[in-house]
Amino acid sequence: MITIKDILKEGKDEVWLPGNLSCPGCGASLGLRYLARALRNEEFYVVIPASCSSVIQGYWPNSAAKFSVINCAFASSASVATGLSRAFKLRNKKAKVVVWAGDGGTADIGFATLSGAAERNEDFLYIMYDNEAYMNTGIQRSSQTPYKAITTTTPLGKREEKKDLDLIMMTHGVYVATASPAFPLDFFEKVRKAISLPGFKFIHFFSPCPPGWRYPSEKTIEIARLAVQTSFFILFEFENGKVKISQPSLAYREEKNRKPLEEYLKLQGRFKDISEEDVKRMKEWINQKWKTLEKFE
Amino acid sequence: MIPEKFLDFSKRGKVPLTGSRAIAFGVFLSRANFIAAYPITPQTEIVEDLSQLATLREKEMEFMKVESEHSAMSSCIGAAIGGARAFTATASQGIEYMHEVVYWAGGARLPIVMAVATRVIAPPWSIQNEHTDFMLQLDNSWIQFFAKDPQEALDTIPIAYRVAEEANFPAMVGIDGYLTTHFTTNVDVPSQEEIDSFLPKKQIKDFWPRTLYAVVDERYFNEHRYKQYKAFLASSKIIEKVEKEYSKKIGRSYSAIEKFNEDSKNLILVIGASFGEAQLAAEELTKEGIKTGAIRLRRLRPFPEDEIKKVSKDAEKIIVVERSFATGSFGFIARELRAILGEKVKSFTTGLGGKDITKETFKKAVKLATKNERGWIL
Repeated sequence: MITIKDILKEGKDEVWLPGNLSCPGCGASLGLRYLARALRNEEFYVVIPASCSSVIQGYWPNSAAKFSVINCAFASSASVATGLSRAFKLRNKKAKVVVWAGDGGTADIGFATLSGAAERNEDFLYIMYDNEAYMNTGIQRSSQTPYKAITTTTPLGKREEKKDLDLIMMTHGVYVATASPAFPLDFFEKVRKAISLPGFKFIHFFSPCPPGWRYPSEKTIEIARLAVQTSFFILFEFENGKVKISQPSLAYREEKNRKPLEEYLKLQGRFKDISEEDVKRMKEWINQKWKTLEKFE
Repeated sequence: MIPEKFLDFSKRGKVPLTGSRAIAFGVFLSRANFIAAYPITPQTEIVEDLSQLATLREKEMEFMKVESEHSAMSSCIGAAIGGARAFTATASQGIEYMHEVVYWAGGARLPIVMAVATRVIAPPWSIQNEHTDFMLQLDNSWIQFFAKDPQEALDTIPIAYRVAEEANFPAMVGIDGYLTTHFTTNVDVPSQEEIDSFLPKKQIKDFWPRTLYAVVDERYFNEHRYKQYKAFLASSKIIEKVEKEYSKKIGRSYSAIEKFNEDSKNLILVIGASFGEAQLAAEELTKEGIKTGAIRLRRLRPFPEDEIKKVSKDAEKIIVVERSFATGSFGFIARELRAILGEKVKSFTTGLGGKDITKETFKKAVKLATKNERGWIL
């Protein structure tokens, strides 16, 4: 187990700089900070498609990144990363390639490209930071928006369930993991493990968004933690065809041990009109998610 | 499959090649080491041949089979950033599907080379020859050549790489679908040594730690584009220099336009494989008493404005015969020429969907133009 002490020993300075253009309490900026620290001993290149992260890294000539960033078109990140990692291979260059893309850029418009790269088992780490909607354009629903969440294009709440992208990626037979800003050490370990594996790796990073989810910006970690404690977001790893539930989620396998989902929902304005029936349906969705994961254990 | 006996690149020699195979040979001789392949008729043979050629350089060449044209160009972008010499080929729907990233490659100023085997864009469906796909790419900051036959197609690939890497812009090489892609002629294939002496290894610029293509705000954006524009126009000079050097090293000369009896009062202007028929038409018309010459536009971008002005100075009519479909005021190239030369430019559209363009087509166009008419040759 890695500890905070170990991390601080590697250097106290930030690799992803504070004072960037993110909103206060931005989950994505936290994610980039942890990611950059986890990879600080590598030469690493982060491919970023159109997303909040294209903006929060800073406007030219400023940048919050003390690593290399390649910005690219919305649907192209997995292919740009493919070209980059193959070019590095041709030159025997020991550098790591990471995609940092939002849920829209991953599960919607970038999906064919993502699936193609995973099928070819291209050598890079793909991280989807999931804030569950198109936030950069002002909160429009994506396939990762959960049931009943209000967005500017679902004023009455989304009618469909969140697409199970984790399962889809698992069927590609690649390394898949989920991570949360409330459990940074778990994220650290997953990033370091993934980057050491050959071939394609996928991490689904839960990324709360204060303006998009309508909650006060100081509650990001609380919400991220509640998502795990209610099992709304389950932390696990999938490797060599087997699921391993990660330590922070282990305690919540039994429904009776979980925190009530209502606690998670009531903190967020996007769920303000939710009915009891809807909450029941969401709890059922959580049970189903557990059942699916358990099939792979 | 490419016959074994054609695969000796140590010696220069004549080999019967289709236009597609000539492109593949040009790419191999240019030591392109990242090939993104996605099939579309009529370019498929280019990437099929490259898949075979890549086996000759297993560890030094990445042949990547992508899941779409959008990804073909996107992976070329990644590979070019990473220091590889990247190539892809496409046509028609393919180039339209990748269009967003074609523009990105131009703006990012990456020296990628792409071959376009021209074809109709549907609907209605047709896989026949037409230049519309190539013409729709005119303003994407790509250097654009259009070759007339397999020999020129092969030669233009190393020229395109050398220019692209010196000017820092991507380059596109067009050839006519079927008329050139599927047409076999004897092609004089330079040796690897000769091409190596012409085209040096790609200079690799490392960028650790750097940010590429970040947001540029309104204080700098206009100036950013102005610099891009100036640099693009300045690439004409690099192209002329490189073409001269190719002529010196390999012995074949190319320039922005090819001329035939250009001091005539009527000048036919064409692109690509129809140049031969245009020359025949010019000869016959001249014999009939209608003094006619022909010019072929080999370089479309940067547009060779000065050369065109010079060659057409004394011409009374410029008869632009285009195998492409534009719904604006005139054909794609005719617009450009009218802006420079005015009323004496007469625009004709024909040859769509693979319809033959023969010397009769050109003769009709010239006769209509002398009556100050323009339009379609059906």
